[in-house]
Amino acid sequence: MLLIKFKKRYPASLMAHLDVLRSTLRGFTRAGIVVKRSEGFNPHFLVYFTPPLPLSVESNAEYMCVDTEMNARDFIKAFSNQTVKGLDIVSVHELKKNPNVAGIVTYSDYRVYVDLTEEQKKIIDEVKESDSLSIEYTQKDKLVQKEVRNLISDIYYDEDGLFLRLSSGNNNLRVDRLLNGIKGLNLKFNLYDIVREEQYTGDTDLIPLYKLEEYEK
Amino acid sequence: MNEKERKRLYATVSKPARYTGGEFNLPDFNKPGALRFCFCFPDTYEIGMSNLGLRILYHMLNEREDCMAERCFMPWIDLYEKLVSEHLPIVAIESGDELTAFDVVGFSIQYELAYTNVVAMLKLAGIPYYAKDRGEEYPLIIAGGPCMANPEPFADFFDAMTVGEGEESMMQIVDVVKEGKQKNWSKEVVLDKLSEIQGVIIPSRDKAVYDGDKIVSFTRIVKKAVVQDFDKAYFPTKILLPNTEIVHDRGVLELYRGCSNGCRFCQAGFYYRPLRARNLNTLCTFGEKLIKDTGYEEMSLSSLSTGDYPKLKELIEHLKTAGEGKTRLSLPSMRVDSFESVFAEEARKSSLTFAPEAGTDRLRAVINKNITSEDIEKSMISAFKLGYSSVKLYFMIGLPTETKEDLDGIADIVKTIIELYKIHRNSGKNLSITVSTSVFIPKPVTPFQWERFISREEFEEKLVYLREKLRMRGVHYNWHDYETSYMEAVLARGDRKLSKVIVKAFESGQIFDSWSEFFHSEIWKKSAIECGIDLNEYVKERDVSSVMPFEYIDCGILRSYLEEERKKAYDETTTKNCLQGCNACGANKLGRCSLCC
Repeated sequence: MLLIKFKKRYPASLMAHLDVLRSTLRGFTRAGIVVKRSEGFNPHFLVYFTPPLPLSVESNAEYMCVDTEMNARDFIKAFSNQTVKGLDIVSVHELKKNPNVAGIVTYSDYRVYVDLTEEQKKIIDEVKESDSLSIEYTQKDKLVQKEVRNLISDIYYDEDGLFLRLSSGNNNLRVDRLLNGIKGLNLKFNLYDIVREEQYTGDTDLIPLYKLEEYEK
Repeated sequence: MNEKERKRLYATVSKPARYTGGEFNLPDFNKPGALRFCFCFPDTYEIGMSNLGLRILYHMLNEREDCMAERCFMPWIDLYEKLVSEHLPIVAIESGDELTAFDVVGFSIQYELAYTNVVAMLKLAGIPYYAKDRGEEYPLIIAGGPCMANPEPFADFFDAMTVGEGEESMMQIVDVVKEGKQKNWSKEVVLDKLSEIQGVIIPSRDKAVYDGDKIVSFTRIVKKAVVQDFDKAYFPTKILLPNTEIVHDRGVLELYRGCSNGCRFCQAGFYYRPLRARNLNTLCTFGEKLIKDTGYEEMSLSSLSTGDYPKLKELIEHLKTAGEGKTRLSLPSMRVDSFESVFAEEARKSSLTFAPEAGTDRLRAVINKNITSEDIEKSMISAFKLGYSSVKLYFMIGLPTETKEDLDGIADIVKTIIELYKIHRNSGKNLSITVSTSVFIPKPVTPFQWERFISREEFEEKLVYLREKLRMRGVHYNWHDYETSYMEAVLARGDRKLSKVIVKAFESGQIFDSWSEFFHSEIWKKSAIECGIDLNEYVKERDVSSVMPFEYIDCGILRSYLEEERKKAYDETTTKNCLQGCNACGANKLGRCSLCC
């Protein structure tokens, strides 16, 4: 089982998740990488991804697990020139068993490349200090109100813009929803200003997914 | 348009991957000083990227050291409206440059209902519609594709057009434009040189000579370009792999060009003659390479009648084992009589599609679709024995000499199939039959090019009758609507007067005609009236002695042959398949029919 960390930048950031999957599988075929298939009537490749990003959001830390006998070195050699523009392999790690990446992700780091006014910086500081934060957003044409402070592990600003560490995976908090939902913030940003920088597992001691290999040992 | 602007534009539209590029197998664009060519396809990315002609020419030009070819597709409505409202231009996918930055802009025109999109793309690019209004500062705007069988309705939009196969003529066009650029030739001089290339039409010079409303002659006869040695013709295997799902998302292997059947309504069957096939070995090599270079697990064996390829069985056997034996083959365009169990066994047993086209043996003799009810029954029996339980049937209504008995014949075929399924079924599923009808449209370069297009009243009468007849359990009937077919019929045999109607229709809001949800017949009718044109004149029966506006194009097929075929149609006499002996249609004067002569 191989764990692959990869980037998803423009133009691949505008590829839907299923298209990324399709393109990746064709890449495996071209590269001669033999991926195990499921059993049953309609066998499919045993490839697993971390939860997909909204279209347009970019990432430096996407992950997929590939069930193959190939070792990491051979995989990089065979696959690194088989990806589409914007999808780039960062690292490949050998694991003993399927870690279920989609299920174990707990937090993600994001950068939002925006200029903040003093007023906006003040509001961000307040969010950081506060114990509660209620946001409103529309989901499936319904207005939803949700307490999300416990889903924010960290939030701060620097010269590049905003940094956020948010709950991810099963208890996901979307960056755009959060930023649009903070009352009075009025932050003008585009989805493509957001970059996912890392994904973690664990609750208190966070382990970046690319370190799962060491953790397994 | 820079990357940031493109990101902003594409972030909020549906399926943005259609516009971003970055696909796998992109050619090398680092060629300083190379001639810049932009292929424009007046329909969406999903349709354009499925087009084999575009695939071939795009990669062929990009393999040249001195040429860079890019792509531009008609943006879907959401992006189109955004571009219009923000006064932004359409740009080429690869570089993000405006079309005016290119040396040559080449439109691939595949069907009549894309004409308004051609105008829309020119408008979005900030290029005047009519060639006469464009000065030296604009790129050379050219066109090609199957609609060149009658390019007259859109001829005024282009500086030059290429009729026939582009593999050789496009290379020659690039040579001329490149030389013109180096020697600073004026557009007129470039057009002079282009007119010497076989298949190139210069619309401002090559035209009909009228006496009143009648065409009496043409300024020049232009011969269609034909690839002489098809087996050696360029065929790309390292093709672009789309970043979003397209209509035909699979490898395509072109077995042969032309068709030996000679169905009298079929434009492609005559237009693409002479008949030329690739050798089995060539196809096996291309097939293996295609799988290796793309990673596709599905491959389509393409031609106008795949079952007629003499070595089809061997080809299937070979390709089955390629790609670790995981390659699925799809065989489109199979004639009913060429369906053999061996092919069907290879395919997924999902659904069988056949096109008898007409309901009775008599009408099939009229249209020269040489299959009998017995052939259909035999094929169905073998299919049902193999486990098929779903059948799709295609018919045409409004064919010359059609009567009520022929419509009854459609229902009779369906009834027979239902009975056969009861006896020969090998599947637990209930039988599902889908019957689709389209309306016969008389097309240029066919023996039916002089026929009329049926009236709306006749269409409705036939439709009501068929709907009633096909009301059977497990039978689903759908039909192609009248209005879009009517416009297609108008444009198919239209003349240059229609170009102003196309422009008017576009300016009145008509685009994406081939998408029924965007087609507005009232816009077309109003536009025609405003231009003082009666559209009904274009769908009437034509006198065989009159000259039609597209007859300056020599597609190889003799006029006398088409006339003879038409006579035979009315006599209900069939013409044999070319594979059984040459019928002397005339096509082999442009190139040898390698399959039959």
